Amino acid sequence: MLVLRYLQPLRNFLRVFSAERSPRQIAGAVALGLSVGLLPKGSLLVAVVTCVLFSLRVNLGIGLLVAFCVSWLSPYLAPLSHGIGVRLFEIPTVYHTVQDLYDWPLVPWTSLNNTVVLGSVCLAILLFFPAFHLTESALSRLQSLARNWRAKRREPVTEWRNV
Amino acid sequence: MIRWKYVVPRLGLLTTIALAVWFCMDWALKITLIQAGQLALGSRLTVDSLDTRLTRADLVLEGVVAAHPDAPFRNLFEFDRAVFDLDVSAALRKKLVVHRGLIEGLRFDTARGDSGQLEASHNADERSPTVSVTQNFGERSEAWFNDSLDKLRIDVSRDLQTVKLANEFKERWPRSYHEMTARAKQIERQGRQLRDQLKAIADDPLVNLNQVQPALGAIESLRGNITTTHKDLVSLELQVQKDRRDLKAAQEHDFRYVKQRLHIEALDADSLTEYLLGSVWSERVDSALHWIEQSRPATVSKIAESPSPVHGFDILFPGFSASADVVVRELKLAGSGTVDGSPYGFTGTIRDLTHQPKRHPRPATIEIESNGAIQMIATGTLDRRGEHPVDRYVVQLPSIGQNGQLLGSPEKLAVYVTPGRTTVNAEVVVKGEQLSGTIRFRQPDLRLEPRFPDEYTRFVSPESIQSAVADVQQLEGHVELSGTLRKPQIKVYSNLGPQLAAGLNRAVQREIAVRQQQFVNVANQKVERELGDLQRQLTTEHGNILNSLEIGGSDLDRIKRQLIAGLGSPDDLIRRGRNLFK
Repeated sequence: MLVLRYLQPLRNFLRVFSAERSPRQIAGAVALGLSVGLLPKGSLLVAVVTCVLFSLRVNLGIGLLVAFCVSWLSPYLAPLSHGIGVRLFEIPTVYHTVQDLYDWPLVPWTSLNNTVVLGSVCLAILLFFPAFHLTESALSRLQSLARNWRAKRREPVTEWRNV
Repeated sequence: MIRWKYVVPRLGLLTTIALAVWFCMDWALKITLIQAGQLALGSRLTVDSLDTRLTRADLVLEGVVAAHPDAPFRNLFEFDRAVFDLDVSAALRKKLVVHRGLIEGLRFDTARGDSGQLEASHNADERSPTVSVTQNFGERSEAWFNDSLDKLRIDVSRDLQTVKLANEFKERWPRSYHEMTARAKQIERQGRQLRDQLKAIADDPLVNLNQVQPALGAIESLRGNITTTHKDLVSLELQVQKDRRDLKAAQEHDFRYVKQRLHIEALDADSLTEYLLGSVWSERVDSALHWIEQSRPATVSKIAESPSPVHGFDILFPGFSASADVVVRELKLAGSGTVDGSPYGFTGTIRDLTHQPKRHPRPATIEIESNGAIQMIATGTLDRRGEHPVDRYVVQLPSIGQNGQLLGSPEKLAVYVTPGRTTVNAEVVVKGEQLSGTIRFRQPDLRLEPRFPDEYTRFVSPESIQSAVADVQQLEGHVELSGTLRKPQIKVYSNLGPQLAAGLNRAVQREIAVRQQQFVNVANQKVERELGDLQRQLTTEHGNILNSLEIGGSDLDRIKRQLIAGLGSPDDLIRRGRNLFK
């Protein structure tokens, strides 16, 4: 028992990765992980989005897992991101906005003047809400299905906690 | 209200990550630096420690040793400590700008205990071939020495036509005279037989009547032989005259032949200069160009600046200059070394060093000043902004100690230059791959001692060569560089070549002329001796033959008349016949 008491902090730390288990928290983790994965890793934006992932009450384990998996795919998406970035820079408003931003300290670390980075940011924003809503609705449906199945078997059901 | 149960673990996680980055950054930077350095150099690079002090915005490197890519147990360079002050405001704009840097304890070409070759040594095979001046310096001079030695050693007396002709005459003329003498003797013998026969006929004509007709035939035959022999003797005299003319012609031919065979072109002064100084300067130029070549990859960006869909395009906004990502504005150097066991120290400054020179407004410059064993002031401009890299180096060595050195090959001709101090001024420009430049050198207050192999001194007196360079009190000249960085060509000019060449030419030509005259004299003596012998033989043998042929046509007519008269009238013959039958 003494050993288990010493392991309690580690247990609490590991719980960070699995504590948030509601469909909404998992969906948020998937959307943020997708954003982290899509963004080029040399950009400061990755650090910012990762900090957001760590700061919000979302499932960190799922978020990091999704970020890791999408990072493997991101090189294949680079040509698509580049195309989006080129077209975005052809829009004067976007061009001038990025130009103004670029004069600020730290902003150059985001590499927003790069077509692939800007395209990836755009792609991440575009995919964020669809990923969030699709994951949330899918998980809610799965949750209700699981609840019904367990009710039929008269077994105690662990309720998903809602945020 | 803050929900600490939620915040603390996350803060702890972020702090852990931040601390991990903080503590691992030095290690990661060190690994990255070693990997990048080894990739650039193609040899082992070690760094004892790397310390980034973010609070002071500087980077400290200690114990950096870079192995030589071509010599496993030598170091290309090593330094004790380097400090780089970073520009924070530039860092916020994603630029690594070193305001000021200092490298202390820099040493070049030092020994190392272990091999500096990388385990994956395939880089060595892929490495470009090293710079090498591949000219055959003094090839013409060496050929001249070989040629002159051959000419001095050559014995053309066997090839002289006069000698050949004389030997032929010596064999042919005695044979001809022997044959002629034999024929004369035969005629003489026939004459005596005929006289005896005539005497017998005259004594007893009736008995020897039948011998009259053959005797008359023999007389005619003898007459014919004598006539033929006389004609042959006349032909022989004509042949002698012709042979004399041939001998004279052969003599003239031999004179020309000896001149031609022993002719030697004058030694070219430039060729001699290259022979003596070419290899010395080619080594120095090789070494200097090797350093230039080594420095080139380090100052030329290997990062593709052309956009690609994978890496994207970097949009350059108006008003934002495309400045380089990494710039060293000023880097002070301080180091030391040894040359021929004597120590020297140097200080220097490198400015505007960047791996993206096209994005930097100024070219990289380097200034080095050394003292001690090598007193040198060197400046270099490494301009990589244009389409082709342009390097320009100006080096001044006002007084460098020069040990006594033996120029040339002792097996042919060598000149020992006494120790002294040399002044060297060099300007080298490399545009793209094209090399150009001039190196001027001057060594005052020296003495030159020509040295020959013993074989040569048998023919050419060393004193005559020594006198040729006695006036050379200083060695001065210049080296012109051309060609490409990979295949450099050098042309060496000096005051040594012309003076030594003039002395050598005089001495060798004099010796060659003496030998030519010797061969001509041999030919003349041979001709005179053979002609004298021929003349004596001709006189003696000719007289004997003529004596043998003293029976002329008139004598034979007289004999014939006597024979007919000796026979008497028909009445006398009838009377002699009756007396026989009594």
